[in-house]
Amino acid sequence: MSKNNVLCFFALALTLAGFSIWHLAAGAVYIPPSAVIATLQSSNTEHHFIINNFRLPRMYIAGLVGVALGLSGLLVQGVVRNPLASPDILGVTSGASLSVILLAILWPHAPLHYIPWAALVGGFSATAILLLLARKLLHRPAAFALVGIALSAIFGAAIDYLLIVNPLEINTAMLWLTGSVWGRNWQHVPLIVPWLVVLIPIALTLAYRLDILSLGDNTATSLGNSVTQLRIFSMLIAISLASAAVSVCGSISFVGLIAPHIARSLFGARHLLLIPTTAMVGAVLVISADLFARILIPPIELPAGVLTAFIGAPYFIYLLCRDQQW
Amino acid sequence: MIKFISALLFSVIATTASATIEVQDEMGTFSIEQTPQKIVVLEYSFIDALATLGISPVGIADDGKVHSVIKQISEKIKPWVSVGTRSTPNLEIIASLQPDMIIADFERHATIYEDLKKIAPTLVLKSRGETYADNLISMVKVGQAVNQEQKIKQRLAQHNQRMDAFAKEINSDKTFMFSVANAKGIWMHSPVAYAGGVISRLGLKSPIPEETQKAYISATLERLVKANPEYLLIGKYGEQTIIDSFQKNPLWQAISSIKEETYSETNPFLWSKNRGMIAAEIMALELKSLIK
Amino acid sequence: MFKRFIPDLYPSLYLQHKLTLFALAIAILCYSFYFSIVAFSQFSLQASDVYQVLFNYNANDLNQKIIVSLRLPRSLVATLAGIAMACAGLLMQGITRNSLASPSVFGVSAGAAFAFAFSSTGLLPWLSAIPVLFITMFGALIAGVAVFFLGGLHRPQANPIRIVLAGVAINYLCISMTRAAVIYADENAYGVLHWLIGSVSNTQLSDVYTMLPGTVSGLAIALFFSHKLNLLHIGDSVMNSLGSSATSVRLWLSIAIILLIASAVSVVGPIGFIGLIIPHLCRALIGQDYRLLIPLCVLYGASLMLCADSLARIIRFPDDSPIGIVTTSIGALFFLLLALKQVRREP
Repeated sequence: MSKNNVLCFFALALTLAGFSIWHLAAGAVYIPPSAVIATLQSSNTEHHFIINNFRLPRMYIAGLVGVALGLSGLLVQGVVRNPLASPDILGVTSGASLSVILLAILWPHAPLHYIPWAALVGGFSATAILLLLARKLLHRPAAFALVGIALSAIFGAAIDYLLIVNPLEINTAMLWLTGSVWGRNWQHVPLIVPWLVVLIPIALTLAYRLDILSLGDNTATSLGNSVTQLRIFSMLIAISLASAAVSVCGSISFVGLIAPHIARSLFGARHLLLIPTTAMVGAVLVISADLFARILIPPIELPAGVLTAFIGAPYFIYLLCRDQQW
Repeated sequence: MIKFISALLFSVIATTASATIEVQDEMGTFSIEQTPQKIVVLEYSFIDALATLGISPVGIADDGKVHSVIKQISEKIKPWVSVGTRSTPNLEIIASLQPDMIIADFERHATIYEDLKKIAPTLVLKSRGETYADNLISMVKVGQAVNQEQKIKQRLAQHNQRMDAFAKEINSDKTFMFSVANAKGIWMHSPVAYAGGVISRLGLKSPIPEETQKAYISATLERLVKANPEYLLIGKYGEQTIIDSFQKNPLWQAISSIKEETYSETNPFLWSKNRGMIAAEIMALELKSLIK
Repeated sequence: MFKRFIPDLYPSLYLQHKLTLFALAIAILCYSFYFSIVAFSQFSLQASDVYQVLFNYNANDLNQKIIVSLRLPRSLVATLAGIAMACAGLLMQGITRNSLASPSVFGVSAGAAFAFAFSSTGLLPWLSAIPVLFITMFGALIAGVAVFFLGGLHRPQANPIRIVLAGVAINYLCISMTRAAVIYADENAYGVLHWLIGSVSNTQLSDVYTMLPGTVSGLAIALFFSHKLNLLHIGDSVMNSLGSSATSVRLWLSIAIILLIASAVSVVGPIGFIGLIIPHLCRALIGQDYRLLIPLCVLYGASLMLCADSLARIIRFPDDSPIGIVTTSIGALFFLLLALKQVRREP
């Protein structure tokens, strides 16, 4: 790692820590950072209830979801070889949402903890359908993405239809899908941690091969890698991460799109470095989005997904101005 | 003597020691050790019951708009702290108020029931999309939870008497309908909506009696003309609503209510959001003055 | 099979064939229009009522009044929206030479919708003084420019799929921000969902007047440049060597596209996929000549919207459903088939 990279890395880590502390400090009741740190160390301070029961789990979940989404976006962009790709284009998000809405309609009194599982099933089913339709296209990633987009459009149409025809029944489901960290607590953490614990090391082992893949299919094949296998494998990891994230927080937009870009512009193209840094950037994005969602117009809480959309807009303008050669 | 005093003391202690209050709610059995003093409510329909019993909630999920609570109810209670929107109330603010009890809506807040229970015992009742009859049952439960069952039942009996009196006075066989309108559309309230329920309670007819599946029906001008209510009340959200463009359409004049000049605009917060005995009685009063 | 009717060899047959197609299209349009006026109403409207309206209008008859004051404006709005979107889609496919181009896929209608939603929030009060058409035009313009540059259209070698990805990204962005604006602005956010999907319910004669200038002028520009569009299809260099400027043609047609999309979105909302389906359908029927394609797309676009409107009324009769549900459902399936076909064709 060059000296620049080391500095950037520390700056990024500091930013993450800073936003995390700010997230814990800010809210309806302002808790000064010193008190925050004191509460984290021992559990018998006056702010213990709010921090441990609301802010800390929210911060962890926001961070973990950010990690999952950022990493998922990185892998998808590597597979599709287009920087405008995000997990959404593979139909994961809309498939998961459709699944949750179907659960709410067909089984209105299902226990609430079934919702995340429905989202997971939905995300994976969407991928299965995509692979079924387009497995022959894996060597043409852009074409593959196109089919994914079309599939996403179909799921979106089905969602819109169900929304119009059954408005009241799906209220809980809609709340879940908005893309928000509101109401998430410690019980939701186990929904995402196992995925990250298993998949991040696997992604790291793939890092070298992903670097080779980005050199081009021919180069990669001639260097002895099975391109198609690698694509399928990294796509499966991306889908799992994205599904897990959606199952916990609904669809938070643009994190999977922007985080890899930011990481690339800071750290270059080596995946071994990109994987942890994209994860950190993703975490920063979602934590800061949730933070501002809570403190902008109190007592009203905006969904974090709305804030990320507003971060996405200036980012796109920036992309336009830079007019990068892709 | 000592025996007498100790027996007296014992009986005094026994009667003043509050028994655990238990109420059947949507999540099973709600129980609370002592009579709650500080209450947070997460839907407008619960405020009515508390105001009737002279209790001021410390926090209300009022969507950040103080005027959402109608004047006649907000006059009866002390100023409250807003805890955010009804769909996503701010859990931290609720916690910081340190309430003894929280009253929540089954449909909106089932997902955060566990979180709410950590803060305070939570009574979960039906609110959104409820009927008039459901609402009265919920009000009694609220009364039970604050250990004033007798008082709320008395008030309920009084309410029934008043509504019967209104029904006798109004005594019309024309059709009445309430709808809400905003810039993007108009929703008719069917007989199973709260407003529709109040209208039927007063012995009045609805122009759409066959609609018993849904509470709120999205309508076009054509549907409105077909329903053809003889008394049309519209609650407008916002200054500019779709009614402005309806009024420019010649078919607007074809609706009975417009022709007979019985059309009126009213407060949607009263008719749709602040469901309760106080609201119902004001609604009946409005209907009565409309007839005259 | 019809392609064998080469104009030079069989001129009279060719003409006859084209005329038949147009006659068929007009017949379908007339019937769809009649059907959408009369069908699926809680009032039993009949052919005799339509006849009376045309020849013997009696303002006191309720059925006739409904036809004139509600059904007719609604069907006219649907017609104009269908014309505008179909034509805009055709032009977009012509300019970008990308068969997947359409107002909804490329996010241009989403941009127009966002501009409209943003002006309704009241965050910038002076916006409400500007006519809605200009606001939606501005939104469509910004979105179009964004997709243009992000998709690399300003470069000679444009990867057709890349621009679709850019369009999807912009579309997603605009829709997310529109949803956010809606959450902020509306007391009853659910109501705006209908408009976001695309709805002709509760449209009036004034809406027809709103849509008419933009649609007519956009269509006029398109027809005026239809011959040049044929040249453009062959290739930029060919066109330039023949003395026309490819860039100026593209510019004018972009103006037409924005006019058409903006006028449709300002009344009906961002309706999806009409601009994708109709051009393909018409191309399969009548070939690549834009002088014929544009009118045919106009006819079939209107017919499709009118049929979709009637279908939208059946779904939850007597409740109205947004017309966008029908177009999006059919369109998304069509998009998938198109995507699968296109990727198989390319090497």
